[in-house]
Amino acid sequence: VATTEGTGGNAPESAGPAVGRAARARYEEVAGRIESLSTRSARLEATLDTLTSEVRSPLAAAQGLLRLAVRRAARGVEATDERTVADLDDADAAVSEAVDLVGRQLDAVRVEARALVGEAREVERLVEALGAAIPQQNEPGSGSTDSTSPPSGP
Amino acid sequence: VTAAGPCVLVADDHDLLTIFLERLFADEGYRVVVEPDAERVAVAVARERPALAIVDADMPPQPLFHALETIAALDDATRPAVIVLSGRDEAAVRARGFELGAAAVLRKPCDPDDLLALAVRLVDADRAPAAG
Repeated sequence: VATTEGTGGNAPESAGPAVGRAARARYEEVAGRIESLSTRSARLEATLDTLTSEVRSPLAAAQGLLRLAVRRAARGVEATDERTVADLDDADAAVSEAVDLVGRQLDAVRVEARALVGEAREVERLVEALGAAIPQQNEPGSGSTDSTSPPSGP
Repeated sequence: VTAAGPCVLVADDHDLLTIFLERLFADEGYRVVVEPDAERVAVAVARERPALAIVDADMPPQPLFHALETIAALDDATRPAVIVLSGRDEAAVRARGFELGAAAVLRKPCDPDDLLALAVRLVDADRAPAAG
């Protein structure tokens, strides 16, 4: 088992704790960012759930009212019939509500999704930095101590 | 069209959807009562004694299924047949609807003809249980 003895003077002993603290700080930053990403992703999913649920009411109303108008037309009722006009007006209002709801929510979702992608890229960069901050161990010729090895005695 | 037919209670907080359901059932001769407040649905059921209640699962600000829970808590003689309409499609939502005594749990938007056919079947079964 390789040890630090005779491979780099005092450098490993003096740099080790500092490197460890830096790596730890990086690790905590990455963990915090990942937790934040997870929370925001869950919130985005909940927003989409709500949207898909909410938009179904005006869609159901529009579909139903149009069906009523079609049914009345099939019975020979004039398209200018007051009730048919009311059905069509209300169907139009329901479609407008659905379109407005989908438009507003999709805008919000798009903004949040874009922010999440940016955040994920930032986390990737942090992970790379974290990897670079960790001393390369067990590499042939690195001379580093295996972390599972007991410290060498005096 | 007559207002003397069996009563259908529409419990939904979406005004255009209740307008559609009201016209759909009124056209077929049902008396339609609309209750948009989940908190007041059980009171409406006790007052109107509908043969059928069409209940939205999600009526904010009350929690999911609040209206149905209040109907489920009524005694057997008062409790109508229930069709749940829901914008959600999770298996857990459907299961909860049936658990609370719904005869059917339909996802919005549902086919108006299917809804009507189901409603007629439930009301007829309720009116003539021995007819088979």
